[in-house]
Amino acid sequence: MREKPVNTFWAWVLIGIVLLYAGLLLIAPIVAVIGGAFEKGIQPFIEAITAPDALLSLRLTFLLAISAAVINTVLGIIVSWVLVRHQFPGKWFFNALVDLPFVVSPVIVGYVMIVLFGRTGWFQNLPIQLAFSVPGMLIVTVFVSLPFVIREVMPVLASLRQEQEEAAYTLGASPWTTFSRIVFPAIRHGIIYGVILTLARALGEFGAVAVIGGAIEGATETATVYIYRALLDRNNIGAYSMAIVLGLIAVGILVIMNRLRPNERGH
Amino acid sequence: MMQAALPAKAAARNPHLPFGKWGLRVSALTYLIMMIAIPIIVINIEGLRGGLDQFFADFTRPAALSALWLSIWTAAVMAVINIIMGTLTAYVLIHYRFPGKRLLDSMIDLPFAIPTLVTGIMLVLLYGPQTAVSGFLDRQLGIRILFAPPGIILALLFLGYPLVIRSVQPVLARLDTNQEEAAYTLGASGWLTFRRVVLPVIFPAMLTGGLLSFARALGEFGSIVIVSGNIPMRSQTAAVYIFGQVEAGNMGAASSVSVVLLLVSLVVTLGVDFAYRRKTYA
Amino acid sequence: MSILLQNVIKRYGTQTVVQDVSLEIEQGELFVLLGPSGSGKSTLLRIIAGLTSLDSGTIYLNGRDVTNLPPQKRGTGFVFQNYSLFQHMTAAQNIAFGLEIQRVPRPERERRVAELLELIGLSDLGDRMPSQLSGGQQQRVAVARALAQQPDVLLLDEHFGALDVKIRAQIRQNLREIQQRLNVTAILVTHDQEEAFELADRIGVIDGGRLLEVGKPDKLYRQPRERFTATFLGSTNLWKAERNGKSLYIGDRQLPAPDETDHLSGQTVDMMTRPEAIDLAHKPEDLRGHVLGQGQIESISFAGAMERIVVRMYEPEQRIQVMMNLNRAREVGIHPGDEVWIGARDYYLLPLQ
Repeated sequence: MREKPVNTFWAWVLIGIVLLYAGLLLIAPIVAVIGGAFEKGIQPFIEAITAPDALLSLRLTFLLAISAAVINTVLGIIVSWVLVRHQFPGKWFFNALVDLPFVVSPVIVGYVMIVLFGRTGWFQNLPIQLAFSVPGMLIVTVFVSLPFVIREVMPVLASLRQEQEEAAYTLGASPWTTFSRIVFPAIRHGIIYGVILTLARALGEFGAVAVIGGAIEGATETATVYIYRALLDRNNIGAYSMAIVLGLIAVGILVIMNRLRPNERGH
Repeated sequence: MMQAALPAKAAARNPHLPFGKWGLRVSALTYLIMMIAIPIIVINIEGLRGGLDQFFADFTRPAALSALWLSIWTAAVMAVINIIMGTLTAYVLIHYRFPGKRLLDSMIDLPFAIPTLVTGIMLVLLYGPQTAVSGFLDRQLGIRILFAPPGIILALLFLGYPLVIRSVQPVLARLDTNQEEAAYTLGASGWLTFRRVVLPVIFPAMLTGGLLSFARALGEFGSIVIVSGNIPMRSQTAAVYIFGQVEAGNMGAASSVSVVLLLVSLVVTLGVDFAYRRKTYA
Repeated sequence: MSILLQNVIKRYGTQTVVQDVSLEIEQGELFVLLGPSGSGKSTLLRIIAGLTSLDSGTIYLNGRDVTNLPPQKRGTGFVFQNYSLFQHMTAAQNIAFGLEIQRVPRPERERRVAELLELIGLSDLGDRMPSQLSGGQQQRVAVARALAQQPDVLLLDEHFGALDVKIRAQIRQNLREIQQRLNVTAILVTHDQEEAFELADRIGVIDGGRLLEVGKPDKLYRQPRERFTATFLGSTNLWKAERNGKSLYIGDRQLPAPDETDHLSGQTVDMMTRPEAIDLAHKPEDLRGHVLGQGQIESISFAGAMERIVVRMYEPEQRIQVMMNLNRAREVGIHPGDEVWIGARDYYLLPLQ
């Protein structure tokens, strides 16, 4: 039994400090947002949310998020496999690369895209327009949400003893069959959890898509960019309502994450 | 996130995949290079395009320097607070049972799920000029939260909270409780036990989580843009500065500050990964 | 006396894990708490150390009421099942830890650590990290660490479990020597009855949270008061017998009853015979001991100095464990499948339960 059921005085002090801190930091803001959006009642909220440009922005957000998730999942599994099962010099470097999208500022990401594909960029006249367009936004969304599937799958893959795969080979299974029948089921949870995190990140992306998309209303405006524009237009209700919608989606994602989370937290 | 260090010596014992092995390897590495390494390289080239002199001139402009400094010191303050509170939170979650524990544990990942822009809005609603809280703080203590560094630090604390916790928790969970109990039987108080028996073991995880939250905070944009008021020289962080320069078309300025910001993030991140690699292969 | 427990009770939820245990242990005694897994013995030990709270009862150590004291203040040394050495400190640092807490000045500390390392026979290994030590060495460091503060009481939790047999024997010896040399009262918790016999001055048999019996090892072995003790301490054979007049009746078989059991006359009792006390022969007149009945040999296995024989007795129908020394076995000439006569050289009646 890890937990001490009987808490001493000091234990309660520590617990109190943590609860206070976490409460102020995490919970209070959520309460505030909900209050803010419904300040003038439900009706304005509904109106704001069902405005055409709002809905359009949501549609674009989902499109980008899901596409990025698909790409990052397929390639993420491959990268995880290579990083875990293969040996080659400089592997640690590639492993470190995976962490970078996590810390590189989204603004810089968007900016790089401009440098590469903008009007005066290095690759100006490509058949597909990448600057101020949805494909460009897709690329940056893939970038920022890249690490999650890989980081969730790698540890699971690593803990999966290779003997199981070898047993399958000795029984005549092809590499693909081995992967789909033996490996995949084992890493499935890691993948799902990684996909959830990827979606969350992609849904919330702002800086990069704002820069490369150019925030063109009706064409390259995601939900987050919509919020930003709404704030600039002093359309507070519009902004807060969309924030609530995204927030609710986030909470939904959080609930799913909690269900799926690997139980490494010592319970 | 960075606790997924490479597994030691996972031997490539797959004679069955001569094509598959290289095909996989190439596609994986290409993906990584295209998506990550290239952008890094590009930014550096662009930043140095006008030559080193121009580079220095651009990023030593007062507004640029001020923005960089703001980013760095707010991220640093946040990291220190975060290491302490994050470790404390992880400790409390692992060791004690108390009302609200389940709720707390499930909320820890909230900052991962919420779009940063929404975070900014939440903070504005909570501490904005029109609220009682900020009015009180302003009048009584002369502290302004929003549109000032405290607001930035607050937003960064929100974002970084799960990073230290998730880094420390698994290590704490694996720590043998009996070691702590052994210390008790030898007469060590709770605090002494923590300092001599627990802390040395979790310290690397604390540091990793803290540095990760630092690097993450350096590049933060979405929440800061809302919360900081974007006043040049006063409450404008590097990321926000870069955004402004891009919008205004000043590529030179945007590039040079980007390069510096990126450099700091990279050094921190790769440094931690490098140290970690040595630890796991030891 | 050194340790006194009075009516200690511990519950986890609706389950009572330690049921009204009372116990007295003398100064300098090596007391073994023996019981199967889940019997509550480790819990009881932890309660004595103060690592687990109790729900009611009192604990006195050396005359002091320590019931409400935290583990830091009880003056007990505790050795954990998996040693729980501080992994990031050397062996010497581990041992020194308790002395640092007591603010023993450095020269004195180093002297004591050197002394203890010598006591456990690891003088050269003080600078090794726990991960560089073998299981047996770690165990010894754990003991030294617990002894550094010269506690009144040493508590050891099942800690021979993970070692190989040969090392275990060596360490048992070592432990006994140290305990006697320092004259420290010790409680050892184990499920291994052989270990209990070898080390204990007295044994406390515990099952289901209840302290069933306490006594010297040979007394518990030969004349247990509880059925559980009889079956737990080594193998035994039990029969239901009728005590009447001067005789015992097992079915139709008559055997002389021990004198001191007159008070049981008219009762059905448990009769116990240890495997070493059973004899086998092909003809009843060759049996050494009182005739019990007939049976068939099921298996014979070699157990070092003895043959371990399992016999299926016909009447009453049950399996009998027999330990026969090699000479006798050769003399009688036993083979699996043989029909044999079964006799008992001595037997013992358990008190009415």
